[in-house]
Amino acid sequence: MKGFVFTLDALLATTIAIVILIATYTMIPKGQEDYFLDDYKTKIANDILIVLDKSNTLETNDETLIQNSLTSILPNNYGARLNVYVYECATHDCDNFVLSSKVAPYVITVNRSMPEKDSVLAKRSFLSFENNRIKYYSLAELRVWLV
Amino acid sequence: MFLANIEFSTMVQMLYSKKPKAQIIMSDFLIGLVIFLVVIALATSVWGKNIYNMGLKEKRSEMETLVLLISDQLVKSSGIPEDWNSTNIAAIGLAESDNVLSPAKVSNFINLENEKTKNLLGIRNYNFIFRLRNMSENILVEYGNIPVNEKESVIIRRIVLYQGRPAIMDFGLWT
Repeated sequence: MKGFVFTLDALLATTIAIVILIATYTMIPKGQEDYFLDDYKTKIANDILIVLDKSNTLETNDETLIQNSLTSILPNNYGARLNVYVYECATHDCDNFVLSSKVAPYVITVNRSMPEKDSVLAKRSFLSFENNRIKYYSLAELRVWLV
Repeated sequence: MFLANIEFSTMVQMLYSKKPKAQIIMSDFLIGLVIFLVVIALATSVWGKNIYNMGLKEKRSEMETLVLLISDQLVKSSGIPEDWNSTNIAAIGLAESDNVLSPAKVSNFINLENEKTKNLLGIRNYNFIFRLRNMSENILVEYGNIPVNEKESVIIRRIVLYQGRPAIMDFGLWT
């Protein structure tokens, strides 16, 4: 019976040792997830949309101008895709909107050849004016990613 | 199973041989003790390394959070009071509106003493660097301390309008 007791003892010790090792490697908290890069990319995307809007570039709906501006302000190590949806009043009282028949939704891309891995999305609505009156109501969606 | 076999055969030997029983048990005990100590040493070492890495990560994470918050404060807030100057300032902000920097506020900002700026931004334990560049990367404004032999640094770039044109605002902390 002594041998049996010693075997149990060894088994118990081995089990405890294995448990300690597994606990050490797996149960130690790895710390918080790193959200910095996503937050940073989101801020970059929002900054770009705000600057394009406040420099009155977006409201022109001029794809070439917007493409050039986006290319110049987008950091070199980023790729971007900008979707713009242009709406106009459906009725005279403007109580409803429909996609504009004059300006179709358009897409502008920069560094498109690279994969859109871990991209983030920013949105901004803006107005276009003509003769001091609102002509279009638009929505811009900018997706950016690291290349 | 292997251990069990060894121990069982050891016990048989103990029972039927003339060898001193205590020595065999002692060697068994010593092997067990060595294995136990190795496991404890290994666990302690891994644990200590993880704690150290977590400390480093936590410090970097604090710097990243501060940099994001302060850069937001600079580009989105007008400061307190809104027409602040070096004598009445309670909180720093450089914006006329979201992401549009006021040249007058930027000028006031870079004329503040470094220590006062650090106190106002709540970054007494860090050095900071503030830089405005045009889109051709030419430096328009530079303030703070340029990182030299830094242990840790976090610098981010924000896109703003400055003097009516798109510009790059860099803000960073370093130790």
